[in-house]
Amino acid sequence: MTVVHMRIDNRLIHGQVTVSWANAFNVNRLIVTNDQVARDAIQQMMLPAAARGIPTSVLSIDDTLKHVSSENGQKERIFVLAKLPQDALRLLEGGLQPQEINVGNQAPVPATKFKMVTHSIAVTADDAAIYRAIAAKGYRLTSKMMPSDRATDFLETLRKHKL
Amino acid sequence: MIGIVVVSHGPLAEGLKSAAEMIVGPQERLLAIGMEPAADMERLREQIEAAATTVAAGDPSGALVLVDLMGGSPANASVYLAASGTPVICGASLPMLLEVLVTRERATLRELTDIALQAARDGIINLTEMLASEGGESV
Repeated sequence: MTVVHMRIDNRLIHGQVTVSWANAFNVNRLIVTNDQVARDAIQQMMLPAAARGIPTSVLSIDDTLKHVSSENGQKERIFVLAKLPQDALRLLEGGLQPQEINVGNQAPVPATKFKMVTHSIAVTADDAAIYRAIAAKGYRLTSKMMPSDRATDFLETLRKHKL
Repeated sequence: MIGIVVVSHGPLAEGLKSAAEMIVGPQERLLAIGMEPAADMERLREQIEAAATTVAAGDPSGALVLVDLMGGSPANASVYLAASGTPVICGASLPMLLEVLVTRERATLRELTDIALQAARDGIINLTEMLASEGGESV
């Protein structure tokens, strides 16, 4: 299993940022994972175009797990982009073992009780519990925008915001 | 008259609008949308689609949407509009915006789309090289 990096980001692919991460890890497949996005024909068309030449698949959680453990998947260096923290947790529960996990952007969901823990990451108490469950699987969750940025410990960021 | 929406990361769209208006004067049916760092994609999509409807304002000529960056969230949030046939052009720049503003009253939407693409390409010039190769003609 060669998932070299997992990023949790509800803005999914955003041009240069995604390409920088893919290049930093010498990735040869990008998988965008979310059940709802996987059913959206327009996203299926748009996201691979936005990834600028990196072979990109837009898959449900189940199909992501299937691909990663398939014969082809085993040979690839995969970058998984999970839309939501719950998507990431479901992948880990399904047996995915990324080498590291980073939190990108999470826009606030209107009418929820969220705190902005960075300028682009909104977290509710429920989200915080999910991030902790992810970390409890043996990960040091980081949050950084670009690969060359200094990594901040995301649980530390949550604690600072009393989450 | 064709309406124009400019969409960007942060204040670029508003900046392009104000720079263009400095050159060609205040414009009607021109809206700028700047995405905030914590923007929600659904909300951004709604904002862009509402702006396109506003600038078209019942005029059958329709609207042209210019976004800053292919692959960026403003472009990704415009994809549903693009899929429904509204022209969405990535790589918004001042030459592109200016050219569409001064030609939009007499162009069709199809023509204006081509004008936008061409103006952006033509706007990229190495001035230093141009001066070196087009210096005073010898007699």
